[in-house]
Amino acid sequence: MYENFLAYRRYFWGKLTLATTLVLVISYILYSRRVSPNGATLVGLIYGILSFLAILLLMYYGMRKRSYTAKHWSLRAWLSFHVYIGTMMLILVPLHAGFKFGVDIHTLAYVLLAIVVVSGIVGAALYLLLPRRFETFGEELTYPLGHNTDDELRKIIRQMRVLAADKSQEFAEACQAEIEYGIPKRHVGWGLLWRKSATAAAVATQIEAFRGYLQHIPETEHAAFQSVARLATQKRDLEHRIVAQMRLQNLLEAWLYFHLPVSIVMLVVVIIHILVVFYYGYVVSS
Amino acid sequence: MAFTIIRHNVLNDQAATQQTQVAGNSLEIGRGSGNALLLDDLHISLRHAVIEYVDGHYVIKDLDSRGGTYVNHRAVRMQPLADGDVVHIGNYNLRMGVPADGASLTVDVTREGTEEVAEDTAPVSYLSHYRLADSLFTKKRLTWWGLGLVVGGMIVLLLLGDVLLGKTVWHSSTILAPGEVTPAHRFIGHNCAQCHADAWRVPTSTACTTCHTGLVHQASEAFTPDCVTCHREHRSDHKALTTIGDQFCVQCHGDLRTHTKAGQALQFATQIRGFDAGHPEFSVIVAGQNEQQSARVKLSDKTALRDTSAIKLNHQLHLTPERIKKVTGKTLTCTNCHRMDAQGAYMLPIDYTEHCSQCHPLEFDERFPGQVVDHGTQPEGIQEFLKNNFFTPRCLVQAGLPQPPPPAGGTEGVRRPGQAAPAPSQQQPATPESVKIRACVEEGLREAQKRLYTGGKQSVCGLCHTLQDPSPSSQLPTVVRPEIPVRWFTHAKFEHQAHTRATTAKATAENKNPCEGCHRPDLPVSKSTQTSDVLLPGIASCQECHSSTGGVSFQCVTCHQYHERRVSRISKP
Repeated sequence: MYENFLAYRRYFWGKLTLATTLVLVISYILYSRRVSPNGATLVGLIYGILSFLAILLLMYYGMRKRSYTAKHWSLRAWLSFHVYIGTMMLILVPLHAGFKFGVDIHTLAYVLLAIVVVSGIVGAALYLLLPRRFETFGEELTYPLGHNTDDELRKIIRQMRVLAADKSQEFAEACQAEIEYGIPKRHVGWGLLWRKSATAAAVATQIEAFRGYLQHIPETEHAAFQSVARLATQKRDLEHRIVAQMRLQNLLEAWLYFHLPVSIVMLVVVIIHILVVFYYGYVVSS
Repeated sequence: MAFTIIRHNVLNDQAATQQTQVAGNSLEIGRGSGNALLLDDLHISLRHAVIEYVDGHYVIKDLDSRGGTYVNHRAVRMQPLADGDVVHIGNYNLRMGVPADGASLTVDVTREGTEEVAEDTAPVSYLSHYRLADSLFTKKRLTWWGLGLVVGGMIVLLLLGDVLLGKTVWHSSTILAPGEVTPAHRFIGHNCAQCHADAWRVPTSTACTTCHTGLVHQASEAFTPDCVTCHREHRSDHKALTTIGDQFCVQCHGDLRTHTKAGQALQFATQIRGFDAGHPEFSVIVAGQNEQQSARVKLSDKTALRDTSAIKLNHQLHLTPERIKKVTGKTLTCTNCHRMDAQGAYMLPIDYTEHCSQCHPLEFDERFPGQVVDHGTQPEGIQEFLKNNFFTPRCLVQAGLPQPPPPAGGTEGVRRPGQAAPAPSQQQPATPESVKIRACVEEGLREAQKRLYTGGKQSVCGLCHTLQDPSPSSQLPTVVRPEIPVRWFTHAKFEHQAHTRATTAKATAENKNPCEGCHRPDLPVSKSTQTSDVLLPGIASCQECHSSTGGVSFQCVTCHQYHERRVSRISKP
């Protein structure tokens, strides 16, 4: 049976993370009674070192993911670790800072970390939920886009062009309108995320459009236009599938466009944070 | 005449140029397959335009096309072509190369638009318009932009922040420092150089001692740490600069071995981490016969712990209502004698006149109730006083002789300690009267001496004081001066007032005297009969509240003071 990454080895990482978080929180409560908690205390420093090591391991996942030859730990184990420990960071870092935030680079590091973790949670949630939506919608949306989708579309367009050659201007323009129909002039990948599918409306506009063309096209060319109309229907159908499929695909990918870049920016800010606190806290003052 | 058509193609990812020659006087242009220059664009008419050679000129004519023909972006019906003219038809650009000698016209054909730059280019990917990876916002670009924004923004803010936004609103230190300066230092504002004389570095103590003059640890300190070692500014927890974590104190004071003299057994704690972790039991100095015999004794060492202040006091007796009421008609509580100072910190010293005299008057003769001698004067002085100021006048009156005037500056019956005894009366010849008077005086003095000093605790002075036997030269004993400690713990500060509420509540719950909440759990004051009992509470008593579980602060600085307060001064510029 398929076991998702959260349930990997009977929720091993989930349990470990929960236990670790409990230990950290309890030790924080105990230590915060003794001293005003912050990153400069011994315990705060330990939390900080733990956080930094965790960040390095979490970011190593990105490299491990691309390495197909690595032997130690399966990718699913890494992913399970990545998700649980990553979520724990939301708590671990405030423990390190003693829940003190300000308008400075130190807090910026945490804000960036929070963006990374939250985008990761969103990604994991979509990853687990969207495939079910694929099933709910049925085959229409799960029709796979082959590698030759582009070829398929190109072929239809070429055929329409051939049909339009030496035909009247009205015929040619109807063909051109259909060729251009639905093909975006600029990149629409991000816009797709907010677009809703509208199959019924699409079919209605198609019938309307074809009726409009026929009014202008000379009657001698009506038979030829039937071929164009068939191709145009195929094309519209294919485009509809592309939009639906790409929308789901982009929904599954979009979070990564925050997760990855922000994580790298965060790592840089964390390193600056470490350099600054050690420089001012230890090097300069001692 | 002829026309040369140059078309640009991409074949197998390689750009290729194709030249074709068209003979004749005209070049027909259009979408239809019959045209000499076929332009595959459905916006273009079947027969769109024609270029003709007329009278030594190449002229372009529009054939009533729907889309129109443009020369250098201007719509034309008919237009002679010049060298370098660009003709726009549909998506196509035709650059004209008009020869000077009337040779063949060169038409360079290119196609506009991003989709197909050259004609019949490599296959276009329609999906790339949908794929996120093909958008402007690739992960790589977003990363670089993000890094540029954050790092660049920070550099800009650090370098130009002061200038751009003005120092009152913003300051570059804000981004690196974990917090603002403490309220006490707000008056400095963003004038960083006031403390950070060396930019980017932590201030030296000189920055602090400009205003905070005279702050020192103590005379015998081994070294002087920088102020910032303990007093951290720009704190993220917004606490006062004087909130010092224990870790700063125990760095040096965690191991008290250094206080052990050579050859002495180790008696000091070596691992102090905080008040409830490794702090030793409180110690007091128990005075011996001399300084060598004086020793620090821990409150837990019950055998060695003795109050040697040479005063006799039975707390139990004073606090037993029935007994005290029988004598005085009222009852006593601790606060009848132990009064706090104005700050509510320490107990004021016990004063005989204020606290004891009412019940323990220093009456010297049963025959004269209400007549008392002065407290604080040694027996010899009392003898002088009684002789000159009391018995001599009284005996003179008894003998019917005039009373001599009272000694100058003295009040009857009272003489201040240290005040010179009145000058002896003039020597007079011994007469029967004078012998009688002398006998009268000596009898009175004997009686007083007996009542004041004889019989140990039965005597007036011996009740509280230790009396040393008379020396051979004198018949009078000496009162041993009591050394009652004003402060037992000289290294820690304490406030009684701050503790009264908690201890009263605790004592009431246990049905005890309020002070007995602390003084002292194993030996309540009301049970103490010996003066030698030291009724101070031990560390365990304090730790009931001052500990990680008790909920009350228990930092080193709660009780200990680092600086010599008496020399501290703050002079604000």
